[in-house]
Amino acid sequence: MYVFIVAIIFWWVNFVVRIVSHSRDPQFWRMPWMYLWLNAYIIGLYYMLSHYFILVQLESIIHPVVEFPIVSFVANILMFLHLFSSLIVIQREISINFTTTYILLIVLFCLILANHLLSNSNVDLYRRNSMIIFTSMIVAGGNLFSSLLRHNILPRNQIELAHVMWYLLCAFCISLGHGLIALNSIEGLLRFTQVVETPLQTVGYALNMVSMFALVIMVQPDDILFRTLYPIRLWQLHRLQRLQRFIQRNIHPMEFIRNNQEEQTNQLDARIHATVVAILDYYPYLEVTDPLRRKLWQIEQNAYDLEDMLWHIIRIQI
Amino acid sequence: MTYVSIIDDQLEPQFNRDLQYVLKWLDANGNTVNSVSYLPRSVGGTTSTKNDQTIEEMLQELNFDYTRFTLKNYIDHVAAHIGRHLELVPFDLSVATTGMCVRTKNGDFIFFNENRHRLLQEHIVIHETAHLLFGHQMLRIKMTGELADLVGSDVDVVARLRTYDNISHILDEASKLVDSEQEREAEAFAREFLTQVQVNKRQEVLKDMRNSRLFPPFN
Repeated sequence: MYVFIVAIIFWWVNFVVRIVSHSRDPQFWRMPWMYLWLNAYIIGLYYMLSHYFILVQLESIIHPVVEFPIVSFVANILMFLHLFSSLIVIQREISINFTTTYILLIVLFCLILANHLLSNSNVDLYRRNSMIIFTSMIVAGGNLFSSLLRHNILPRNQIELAHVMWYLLCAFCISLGHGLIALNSIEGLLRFTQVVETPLQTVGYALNMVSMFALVIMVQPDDILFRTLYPIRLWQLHRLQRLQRFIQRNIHPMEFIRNNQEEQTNQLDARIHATVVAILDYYPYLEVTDPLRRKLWQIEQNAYDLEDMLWHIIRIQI
Repeated sequence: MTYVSIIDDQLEPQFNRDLQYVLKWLDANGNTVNSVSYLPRSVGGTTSTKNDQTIEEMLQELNFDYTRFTLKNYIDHVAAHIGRHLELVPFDLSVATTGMCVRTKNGDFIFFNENRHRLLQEHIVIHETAHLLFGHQMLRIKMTGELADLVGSDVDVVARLRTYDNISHILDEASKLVDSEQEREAEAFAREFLTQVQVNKRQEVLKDMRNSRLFPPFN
């Protein structure tokens, strides 16, 4: 639990810094920037209120004033706002009609409201809400991802890849985390136990923390995001060098004089560049009937820049 | 500037053919291919070679704004730096010759394979300019047969080729070593230069965006 609180403090300190730095930027107040950032802040607030212990502690502070479990209700509203706004931004970008999904989400939100009005116990309220929130996430997330896949929205450069990667990690961990919490809630409701904190619940919280971390990375400036790609770029270099060696073995035994690997710099960008140039230099010497030569020729004809070419070359299976 | 003499028929047939086409192009465009004796003693403002300079020092001396990189801007910049006319010629070279730098009375001409990807073309051009910037040795090719009829039998073509390592077998040991080292230097220069271009352009993009794509569809 304390780890969770430390994580929240870390998260909020980081977020406040980002808000302050962004508020000076006039672009921040325009759409869709503001929309995206609001969405990120909403989910950040939700994280803070998603732990059962924190929820109960806050309810006990507010309870003498208001009978209604307001903190839990606010937390769930935040989650629904996030789901709705995610769908709206996608609908706006790729012109998809999510009407059925919206109706389903409204029904689920009504269930949340009914649950708040009818529940007498914090434990049962939390458990039922966990199940409804998880169902809502699956409904909205499933539609969102299937729409994105149908529209073939794939990363076209390294920055987009970094965004996609951290977003997927964030979405995967939050879904799985809530899935485990929902599973724990079903088990608790069936057994009529009052103990919320079980190993399953703890794993669920841990996954939520990973998700929080991914969101922290996602909201960092692009240059920091780009640095997180270093392992992937190393892997890309490894794939390129493997292909280069393969070509080298399959052409006449001539010396690769200009691209001697020992001569190369340690800078990753330069090594990637040199290896791509070496591949381009030497693949025309492969046999005309060689399928690899044909593939590389097609890539050379169609790729518009180094990054694009890189993505296509590393997908070649040898 | 130092020279290594070879005879054109020592070259691989593909290079020889490329050279023929290039010389014909130069002839058709009114450029006299120099004999070595016509060449200015000083190229790039100095009679000494710049082989002792490191790539970093050369990049610093060149002082090029990487964010403004286009081949045209770069060539203009290098031409101003070396104090000679420098022209780029996209050319239908064979697969064996990716690039060629030929010196004429009117200036230097960089021929590059027009059928290859822009990335490789940029690399070839910068590679060739590196030879000029560092004052590398040039090949003094003695013309015979058909080429001699074209440019004159008393004329040597001064050129530098970016090719497979098919020239080294016709060079003596000392020239081979120098040629090989200079090829590596030119290659490293092109690599470092284009990496700087890539890094600087990326920094510009990163500075502009400052993370506006938090959620899908990201672009």
